[in-house]
Amino acid sequence: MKKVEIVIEAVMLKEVIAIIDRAGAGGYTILPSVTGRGHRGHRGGFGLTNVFHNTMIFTLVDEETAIKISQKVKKLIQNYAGVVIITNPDVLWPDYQKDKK
Amino acid sequence: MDASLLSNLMDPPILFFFFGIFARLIKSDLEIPPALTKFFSLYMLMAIGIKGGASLAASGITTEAVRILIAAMLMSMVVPIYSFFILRIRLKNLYDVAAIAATYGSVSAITFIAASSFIAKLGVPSGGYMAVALVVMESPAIVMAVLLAGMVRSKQVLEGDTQGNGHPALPMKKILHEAFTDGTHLMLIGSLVIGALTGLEGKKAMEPFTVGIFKGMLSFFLLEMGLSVASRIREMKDVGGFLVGFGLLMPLVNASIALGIGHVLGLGRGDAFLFMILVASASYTAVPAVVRHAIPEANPSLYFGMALAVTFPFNIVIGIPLYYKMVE
Repeated sequence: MKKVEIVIEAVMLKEVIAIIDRAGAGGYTILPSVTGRGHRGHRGGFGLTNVFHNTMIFTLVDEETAIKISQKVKKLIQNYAGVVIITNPDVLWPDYQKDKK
Repeated sequence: MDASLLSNLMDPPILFFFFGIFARLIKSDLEIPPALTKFFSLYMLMAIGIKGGASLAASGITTEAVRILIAAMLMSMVVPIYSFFILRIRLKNLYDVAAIAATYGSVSAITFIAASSFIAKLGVPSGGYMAVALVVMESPAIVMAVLLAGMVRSKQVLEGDTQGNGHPALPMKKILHEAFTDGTHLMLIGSLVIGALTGLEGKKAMEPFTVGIFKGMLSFFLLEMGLSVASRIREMKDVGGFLVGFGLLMPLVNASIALGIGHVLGLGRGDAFLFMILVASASYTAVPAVVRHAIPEANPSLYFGMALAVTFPFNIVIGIPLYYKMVE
């Protein structure tokens, strides 16, 4: 199992959710507003427009799906602020996706 | 009452704007939660929508209203075109050129609100259809800029330039959907319709909320604008003299053209003044949100920063009294 963490411009959240859904992930968690600094300078904290807002979304998926998602998101990041990280998580309930079925 | 620069400045909301700039410059931790800023802006749109809708219902759609609405729509299409050609003289990234052109073709609701309260204080009347003009000027500019960016994109693909990272253009249908369903835009349209449906009675019922506390809400909103403007001022150093100059001179050029059109159409003093303000202002809400999707290659710090940190303060502080003098 892999954990895919994506930080992306808030305006692109819908697109990222669509990528995750289409890749066949069982679900995802969103942190609606995150701030920080990266290759596009400081991001976050402005109420008038969400153009400078970042948002974070993570999902637990198998390796194949993780690669599928990260490749699609990498394309978005060419033009938008963001980052994709894939890690090996210690999930306390590793078979939860199987249990659901 | 005199309409001098000083009397425009000696108004609590405007002074809160300067106070916001001051607080940010001395690095105070004063801030307004982003969710409240969003609420203040929705409140403002509801207030002008109800007021505009109700007076539109009272006066009906006059031929003067139709003429001014057509002129408003045409201007929001024409401004991006000549802005595009002026900007490309010095700016190399044509996506930035298209995005800035959209920003200046579109309008700033808060500038319009500040201008409306300026003439209200002087007792100069204006038509409810001016709020409709605000609505019709929002989207055409975005569409024009997306068309211009599309031309740039296809030209660069032909020339093998990869500046655009091969990003596929969004279909026009999707862009139009984004532009018309943008939350702030829709809020104004919805409030106008509700104002028109309920007429003067509805307006009166809403008055404690939409009129009674209006100045206080505007003060909070402009305080936030001051804080934001000051945060962006440092970035303006990277923007460069040409674009800052554009942000200061373009409102004057646009206002002068609008004055000429207003004269030809024989508009009243209040309507002509608000028409000038609409044409002279630049958008920092709806346009950046849509353009970020539609022209991803453009740098939002440029088009957003210019509209917010250069043109908005210029219009609020100098533009409003100046354009009023020009109308007189």
